[in-house]
Amino acid sequence: MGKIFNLKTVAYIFSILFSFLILFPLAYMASSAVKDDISVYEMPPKIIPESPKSISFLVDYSGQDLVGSHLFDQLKADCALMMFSTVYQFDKDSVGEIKFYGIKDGKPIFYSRAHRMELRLELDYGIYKRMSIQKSTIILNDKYKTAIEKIGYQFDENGLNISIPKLSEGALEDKLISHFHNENYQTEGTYLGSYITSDIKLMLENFKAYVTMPSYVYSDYPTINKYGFFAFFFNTLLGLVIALATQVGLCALTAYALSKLFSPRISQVLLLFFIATLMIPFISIFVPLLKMFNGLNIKEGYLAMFLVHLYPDAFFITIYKGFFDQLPQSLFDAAKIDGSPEWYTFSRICIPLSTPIISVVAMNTFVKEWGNFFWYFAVANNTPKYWTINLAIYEMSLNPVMKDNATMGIAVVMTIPVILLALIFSNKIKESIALSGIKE
Amino acid sequence: MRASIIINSGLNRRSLLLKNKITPWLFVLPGILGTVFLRYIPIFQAIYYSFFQYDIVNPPGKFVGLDNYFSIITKDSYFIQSWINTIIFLLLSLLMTFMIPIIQAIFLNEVVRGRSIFSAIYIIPAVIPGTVYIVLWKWIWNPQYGLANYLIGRMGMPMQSWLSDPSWVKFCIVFPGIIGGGFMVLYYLAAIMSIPGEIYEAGLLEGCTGIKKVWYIILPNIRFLISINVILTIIGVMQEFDKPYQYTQGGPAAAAYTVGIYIYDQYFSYMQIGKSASASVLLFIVVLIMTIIQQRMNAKKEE
Repeated sequence: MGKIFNLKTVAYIFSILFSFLILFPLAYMASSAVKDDISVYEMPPKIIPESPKSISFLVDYSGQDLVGSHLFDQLKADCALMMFSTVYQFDKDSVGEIKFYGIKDGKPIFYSRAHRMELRLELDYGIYKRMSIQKSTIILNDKYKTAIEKIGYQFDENGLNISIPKLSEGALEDKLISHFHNENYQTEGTYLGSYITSDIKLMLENFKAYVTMPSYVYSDYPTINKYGFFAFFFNTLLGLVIALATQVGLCALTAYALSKLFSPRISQVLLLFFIATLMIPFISIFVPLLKMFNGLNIKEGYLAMFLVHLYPDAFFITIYKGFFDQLPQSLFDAAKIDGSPEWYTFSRICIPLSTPIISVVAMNTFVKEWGNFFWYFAVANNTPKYWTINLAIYEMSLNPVMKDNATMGIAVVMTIPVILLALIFSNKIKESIALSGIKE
Repeated sequence: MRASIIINSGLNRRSLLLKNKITPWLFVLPGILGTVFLRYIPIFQAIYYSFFQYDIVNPPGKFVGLDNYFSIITKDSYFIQSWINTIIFLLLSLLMTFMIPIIQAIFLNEVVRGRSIFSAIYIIPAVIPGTVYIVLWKWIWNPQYGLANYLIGRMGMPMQSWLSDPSWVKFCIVFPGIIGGGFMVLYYLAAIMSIPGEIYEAGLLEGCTGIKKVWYIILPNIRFLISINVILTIIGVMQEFDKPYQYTQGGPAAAAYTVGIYIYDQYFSYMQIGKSASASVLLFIVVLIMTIIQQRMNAKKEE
């Protein structure tokens, strides 16, 4: 009795250990993703990242006789200068967001707010790409106007209906004061000070930037520039739909004929014809396939990517056939006597009875296609607008301008939906496996 | 009048018969076309190309018989290297990662409370695309900022350059598999759970508990599934391209250069279609033999 208890304890310990092994790398990925572009390279790596800071700048315009559009432009220039130069100069202080309050006669007249990653994107790939940030460069070619329009703001010369935060003190505040007294960074309005707090929610906002990041990094490609990460998502989705339609539909059609329409002898020969393809490694036929497509003048694009899906996987044909063989023959005989056409029998009698096996095929196809890499790599590697998410992640991980927190971030974005799907459908998946797996 | 009706109905019957003969073929026609064009024609073309010194301007170029085969086997050190690497990858996979899902399933079988939670967690690695894991582990193996060197350093061991080190790279590529999981665990679990209860009871009387139960009852009963999986793993690793290519493009110093990468490289980097095709055919033959062995085992089991 003691020994059984022992095995149980060991089983629990190891199951917990293995679960930890599976979850830990994913947690590490998520923790890298919520770090900023500096702290992700900190050694030793922190598993639980530091909470980012929120800095509010208060700048006073009371003594100045600027009005109307001149005042407005000045506010925008100062706001851009403070935001970008702070992120640029204080990148080690894990600044998470910056708020700018323009004040006149004790009333707030201008407010703008930007997340760190938003500003970082403009500095690394956007408006201020490859520029050293100081007063003269910020206002160059009216770039600040574009930047602030993009970030968003509120402006009302008669006063905004928002409250101004209190000033705080500290080491970072002292550094900021001396920074804004440097003539390269000095604002036209009087710098009153800042309010610094930390906010853990800012970490999650990183993901918003990661999803738009492709549109900055690959801005030369109109589709990606417009839709960002979602361009890749669309390509992946298209592949999934086509793969699912072919494997679920075509395999069922084929297996139905093999199971119900042909004589056993023909059926066996045909089944062998399909099963033999399982022995052909895809890597062995990809060059002839590419040449065949080239011959048809399909060199790239969706046709080249998805045409290869249009054949029934023999593995699924056998699964379907096994299932159809077990369906009661009397149903099909009855339909035949009634004179219903085969197509009707297939679509109205056979398919509705086959939902369990359809979900097995659909699940396997989904997992296979979701991880598909090689063929897309072979045909779409050089044309980013056709990248699937997999290919995009791979290419971005090789791109030297991409920081690792961003790569991890996009990987997390791709992982979360499937983990949720897996957890939601875990019982369904277990049933499917029990259905298709027990050959013992 | 009457005669024509009779003739008509005769025609109808004949066309109905014809229809009955044709319908099944209409059902399988799309599948057959797809399979012929996307599987059979390409593999025969690969065999055909392998006999030519392929000329892009004047395809298929000069017929050279088996020269491509001789030249890759005897003269091309990369080809030999790629097979050696592939076999090392295979051995590493079998030694390091193959057993994990079996162990997980055996333990999962003992666990009663929380089994559904554990099995849900075990499904996760199956649905996460390989590329995501590769990007993640490249980050973990990063010599400068990665977690691996940090942990190694904490344990007082010398830091490594991991994926950039020819002697470590194969280990680094296979190692992530030790987390196990995937659908395989559930297949094994289903097999273990289908072992009849009487066998356990009989075993219990003989004092077969704990590790003895695993060794004398569970493992022999899932032996068939294990051996099928060995073959499937062999077939899978033989064709491996994605992982070694995405980790290091086959480097450093061709230490992760597999047969798959060789076939790809001969085409994309050197435009040597003949060599690429002959390597493809050799791989096809090896996989063919493995599959036949697997089918034999299947047939034996069914007897």
